[in-house]
Amino acid sequence: MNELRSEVAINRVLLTNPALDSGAIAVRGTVFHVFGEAGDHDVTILRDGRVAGRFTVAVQPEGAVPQVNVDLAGLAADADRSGNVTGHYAVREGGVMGFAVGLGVGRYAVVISHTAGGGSRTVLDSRGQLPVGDLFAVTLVTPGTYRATNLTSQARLPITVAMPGRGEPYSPARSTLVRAGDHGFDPAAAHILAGQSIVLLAETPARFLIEPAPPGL
Amino acid sequence: MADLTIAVSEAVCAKTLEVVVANFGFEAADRASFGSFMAGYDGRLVLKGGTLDLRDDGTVRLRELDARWDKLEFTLGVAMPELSLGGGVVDLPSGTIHLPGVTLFTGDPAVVVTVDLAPFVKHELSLIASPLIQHFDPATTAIGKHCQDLHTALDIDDTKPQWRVFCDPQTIDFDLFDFADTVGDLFEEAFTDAIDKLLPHGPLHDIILAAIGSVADLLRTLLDIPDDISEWLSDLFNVSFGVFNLILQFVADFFGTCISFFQLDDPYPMFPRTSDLAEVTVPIQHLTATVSDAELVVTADIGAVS
Amino acid sequence: MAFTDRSDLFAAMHENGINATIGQLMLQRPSMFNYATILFTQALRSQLCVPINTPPGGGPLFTVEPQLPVLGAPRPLGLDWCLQLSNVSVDLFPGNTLTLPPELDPIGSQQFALHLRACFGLACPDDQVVENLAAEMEAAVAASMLPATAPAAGVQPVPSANVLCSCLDVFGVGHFERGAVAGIPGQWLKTRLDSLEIVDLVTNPPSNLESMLECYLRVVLRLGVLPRLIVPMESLVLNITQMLQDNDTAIGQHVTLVPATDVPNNPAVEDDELKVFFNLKVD
Repeated sequence: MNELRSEVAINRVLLTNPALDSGAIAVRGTVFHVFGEAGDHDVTILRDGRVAGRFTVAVQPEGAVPQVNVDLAGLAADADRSGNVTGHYAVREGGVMGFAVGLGVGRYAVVISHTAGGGSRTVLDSRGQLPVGDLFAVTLVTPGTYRATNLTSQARLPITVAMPGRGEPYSPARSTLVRAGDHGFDPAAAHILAGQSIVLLAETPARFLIEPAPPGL
Repeated sequence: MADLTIAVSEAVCAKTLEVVVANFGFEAADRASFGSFMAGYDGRLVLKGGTLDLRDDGTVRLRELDARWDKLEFTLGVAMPELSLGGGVVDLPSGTIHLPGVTLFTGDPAVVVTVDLAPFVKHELSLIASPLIQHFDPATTAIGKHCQDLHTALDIDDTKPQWRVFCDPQTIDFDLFDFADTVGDLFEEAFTDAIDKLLPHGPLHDIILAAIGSVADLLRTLLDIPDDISEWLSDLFNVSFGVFNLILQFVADFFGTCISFFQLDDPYPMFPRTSDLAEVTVPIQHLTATVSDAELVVTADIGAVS
Repeated sequence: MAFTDRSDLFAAMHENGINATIGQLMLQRPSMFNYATILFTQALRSQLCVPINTPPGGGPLFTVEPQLPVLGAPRPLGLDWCLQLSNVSVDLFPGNTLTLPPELDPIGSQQFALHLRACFGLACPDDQVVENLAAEMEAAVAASMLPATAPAAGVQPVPSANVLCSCLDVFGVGHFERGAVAGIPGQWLKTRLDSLEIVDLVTNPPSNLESMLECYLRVVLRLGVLPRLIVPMESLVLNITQMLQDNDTAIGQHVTLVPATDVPNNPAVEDDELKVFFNLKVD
């Protein structure tokens, strides 16, 4: 470490506060898909409707890791001209793959198909609904009031984001799990500190939209 | 009996010490990588005051010379740890899911602070020396660059042969670097300011600071030190940079080989030149210098015509 | 007792050192001790009473003096001559290396004894030369009787290849003083001659010849040689504090050496040594 640069770039997306949509994955939002069946799964990454990357995940009954997180922006950047991504992904049956975006303003979608017996079956198209068992995690930075909506059921969840108190113990790495079922969200309201995450678990097919609450609500 | 005996009282020696000390200037700068952090310094040490004792054991003692830094700029650069928001885990009946988190910075963020430590450190120098005679020959006696600069400043003529009487240090007592506790506070303050400048304004700024928690703790973590920054800093100067040894060596060279207390031209121009005749010089031979508790006595012989 | 009990700086030069210095002075500045007419630089060089070595740094071998005039000659004529002082040595109080003539022995406190050998050489023309010149002189006298008299030319040397030398041992007693020299700052060490005796010059019956020669040599030494031996007092401490004095501004003070005044004698001649005492003056 002989050279030091004090001019560093902040992840500027963190300075904005757009709505976070499970159908358009962006920085601060992560879709987690649970692989329920063994076998190869084709994963297609879409950016603004266009294919930006493609790879296969081998879901194995045993011997593979329970979770793999991928950075969609990074993968898209590494893909070749035909969109193929080099690399081998494997996850345990029942395991999870997290699709996040590390940098930039791109909005991504993920389509996962299970290939078995010569056929192919879509198990996730994040542009539509997350299947039961999948999750959408969002990190909320700007203090204030938010509203999470399951666009499928129109169920709503008020979220309060507060600044950490001075001198109080604070860790951004604390998340709050909220279940989204047929009867709405459970719990019915969530309170977190700025920089922490809300994890929405789809117990019924769901598409989640989290946005700052309009004034007066 | 020697042809020539010159005795210099303790008072004259002390006055000469004042001049010598006034021209003492140790300058050093260094920069090094220590893995997770970089540190550098740029300093100039000067001497003031002090007393001189001639002792009946044939030695000279210089005592209580104040060694102060005109400047001691210390630069510390630390790589910031990867900071992110979000992250953590969520526990489900089917297992634990790890949230990736959102990194705050792109690139390799680093915090660089420069603090002038000069007001916070002082040393005292004492040494016991013996007179050392050197017959300086411009053709063969080597003089270091730094020494040449000092000679120029002191108008010491290095172009002619001379007898030189040095106070050659036998023992040197120099205080180790020992920074006051306040230096630790100063550093934390500077470090906090630097982080402040690194971060964007607005709520994110406060959130990140809240995420960092104690800047002092972060600093100690980054420097991998248990608790006392001032002690760490002292060790850095004393041991890692070796400034302490550099100073000792410089003091030994300065008094022992660079700045002589007394000089005699050899041959010595006894009769000045006149408008039509060259000066008359006498060769100075067999120079000795001895110290008693009252005076320094220099003896020499005058070379006879062979 | 320390050397510097009565002053800040003390220097003593033993008579051996002084004699070594005189030796260097005679080697490097022979013109202070040798006087001769110009002809001794060329034709008569080998006829000097005492050979003179070429000084290491160059410079004249002797001080050129005018010729000794031939008195009464109708045209200026001169004889070449040389006076050389050699074997110069001093013996500081208490005297113990020179055996002085009874007139000077013993030397007093604060005095020094001096010995030197003075050689006088005269280029003596042979009879034939004189005879030839006599004819010229007669012609000159006759010519001076004519109305148009030629102007007198410069001094014409009387040719001679034979220098007659006579050497005498000379003893003297003197003392040292310090004082100013007009027009030059600082204190100077000055050498003073108190008395002088020539030995081995006896006339029968006694005459003033010895006294006249002694008088002449005394005047030569006092006016010709000794004024050229003044030495800055600080030279006696070999300018050992020069660095201190040159750089006194570094300590915001002006440092000078001044002769100590609270010692009985400064300079002092004691214990076969010439001693000087200085104090440091700090303004």
